[in-house]
Amino acid sequence: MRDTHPGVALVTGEPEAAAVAEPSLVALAAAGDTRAFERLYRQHVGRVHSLACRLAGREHAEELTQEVFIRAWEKLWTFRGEASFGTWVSRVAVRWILTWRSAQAVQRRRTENNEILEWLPAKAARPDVAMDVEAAMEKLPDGARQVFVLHDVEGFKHEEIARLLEVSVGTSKAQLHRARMLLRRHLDR
Amino acid sequence: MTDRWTESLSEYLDGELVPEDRRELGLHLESCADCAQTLRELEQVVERARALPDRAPEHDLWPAIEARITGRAEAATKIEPARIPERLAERARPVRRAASVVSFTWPQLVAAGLAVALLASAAFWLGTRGDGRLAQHTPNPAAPGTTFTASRAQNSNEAAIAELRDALARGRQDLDPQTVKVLEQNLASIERSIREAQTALDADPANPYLRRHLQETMTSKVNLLRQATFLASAP
Amino acid sequence: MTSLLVATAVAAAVSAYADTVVDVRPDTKLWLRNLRGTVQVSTWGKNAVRLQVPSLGRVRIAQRAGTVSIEPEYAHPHGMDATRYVITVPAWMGVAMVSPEASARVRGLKGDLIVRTVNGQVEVADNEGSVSVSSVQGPILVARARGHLDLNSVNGPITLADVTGSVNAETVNGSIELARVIADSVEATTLNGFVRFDGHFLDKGWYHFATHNGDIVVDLPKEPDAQVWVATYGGQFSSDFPVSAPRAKHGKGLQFTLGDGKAKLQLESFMGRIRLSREAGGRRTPVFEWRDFGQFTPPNPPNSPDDDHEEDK
Repeated sequence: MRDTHPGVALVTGEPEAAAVAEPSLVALAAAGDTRAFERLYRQHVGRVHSLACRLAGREHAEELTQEVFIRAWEKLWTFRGEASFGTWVSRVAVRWILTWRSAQAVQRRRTENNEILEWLPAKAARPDVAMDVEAAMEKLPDGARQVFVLHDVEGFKHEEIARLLEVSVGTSKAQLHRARMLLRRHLDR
Repeated sequence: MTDRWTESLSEYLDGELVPEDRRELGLHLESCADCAQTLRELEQVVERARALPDRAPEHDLWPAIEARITGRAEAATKIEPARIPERLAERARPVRRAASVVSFTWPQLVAAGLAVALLASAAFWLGTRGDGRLAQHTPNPAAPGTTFTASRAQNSNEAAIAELRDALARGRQDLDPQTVKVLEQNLASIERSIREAQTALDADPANPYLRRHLQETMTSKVNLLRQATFLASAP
Repeated sequence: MTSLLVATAVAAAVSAYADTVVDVRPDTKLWLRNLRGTVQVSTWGKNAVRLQVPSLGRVRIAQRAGTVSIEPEYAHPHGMDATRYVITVPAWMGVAMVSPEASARVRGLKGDLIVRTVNGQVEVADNEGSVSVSSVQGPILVARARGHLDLNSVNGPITLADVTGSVNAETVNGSIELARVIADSVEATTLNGFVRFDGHFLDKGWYHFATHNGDIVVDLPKEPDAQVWVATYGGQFSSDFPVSAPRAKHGKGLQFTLGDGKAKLQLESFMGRIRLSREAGGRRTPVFEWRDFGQFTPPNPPNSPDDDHEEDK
């Protein structure tokens, strides 16, 4: 049976969920195959959207996610395959989101100090630990949250984070430590 | 409690201390319960961070993305089946006789009152092929009988060509010069052909073949070249 | 965290002459990336991938969930001399090769094939899966294949012989020759090259040939059975078959019917000549010969190797 997009016929006969090798999808998408790109989108939209939520807040996350994938499509020809596509698209996402944030000139009402987390009521240990971390992350000061998301959630190294955020490596390490110290006190409860 | 030990705990956890500092802190941890506790807590934070699930967006964003990347305002991929001509052309007389060579030059045919057009037949085929292949090309907006503006195809071709020029200029230092030459030559060739087709269409705006030629052939060649340029740009 | 293709990675750095076999599970795909030189892929009955490299250079084979990839160990593509890769795969395997500097010769594959190259030539024979090839300079040749063929080249000619299935062939500057093609749908379009087709017209088949400057020649069988639409702007049309007075309806195309008109043939050329010819089968068609590499010859004296190998980051 012939598919209308022959390159994607790699999965002829297989169900949608079957794994077409990612490099093949990237090659096809880079050559203009939008259906291959759609598969990449479906595989990675969760990660990008989460990143958008955590770096820029839920309100704009969908719009940002959309823009990230459009940028990724436009830049796909520069992807050299030295990292996985997921990591590459995360980098695209981070750059885009941070650029967007500075363009937004968001007025943060919170002050950049530790006091926020001190106001949280003591919590009994809750079964749904993940929500705690997400909620606590939202209350972190900007710099600390960004580094924490990039390093501990997304797995970037300090050198790269420093470049992306335009700070020194020392600052990145300090912010990470700060984020972890704040969060651990929250999780403790 | 903040002290020099505590400040280094994250780096210790991430394996980023130089060996002497690492040893020193390791020794300290054996005797300092507070620091050891803090370290454990930091480990937990990191573990939970790593285990955070992804949150997919509530809405499916793909249709909007697809519309943007394919340059169409609506993400329609179906071509409306056009009206099938009421009658197909009458059959030629049976050809099972001795062949005679028939030859026309185009000016003769035009002089005989024939307009060169494939629109009706194209529409017929679009309606009956059914496998959606032509969805790959820019959809033909001209259903029989509608007025046509060539500008949409032309604009997107122009934009694509400008973008290609730009990509070739940017990629010049990375690309093999021979490859650049080939791509540029072919780009020039496409542009020439587009100009020829456009000139012809300007002189004969009602000509459906020319419209289609501009729209489909040229667009698909531009796309081919774009794909090739992208591929050539990737190492 | 999104699960990426994380699994046990088996990586072997291969140097000098080497012969390596990697077992694979069904449905594994082969991914050939950034190789330079000629890549020959043929098939065998084992569920394993064999790589033979006869000359210098370091190549990495990695196996992750669902994929075996073969690529240079160093990221810098110019760090490797062009060499020959002889790869043997299970016939069922899908193969994707994205190697701008490599030529490909693939034989006997039943899985689907994707090839993307810039300067390389691509030859495919005895294929049963779908084939998707894109090249810039190189010619594309396909012989004795069944399945859907999607072939694009910017400059290179595309030549098909003894093909069954369906065909989409497109070039900017190259010619497209289709010989002894049995397909229910053929689309061959070029700007400057010519198109020549000699094959069957199946009932309800659809055959579309379009050029800007090039000629189109269609060899028809003795008793053709097709509805024909012809359009050109500045070109000519001629036919070995009698064509009754073309319908002179304004706005409709030059269309006529041969035989019972079961297939549909659409011929368009802006400036070129369009010809319906009666010579089907009588013309010699170029078909390429498959030659295995046989014995390995000593490697070519290497150019002075690049010293600036970039480590893979």
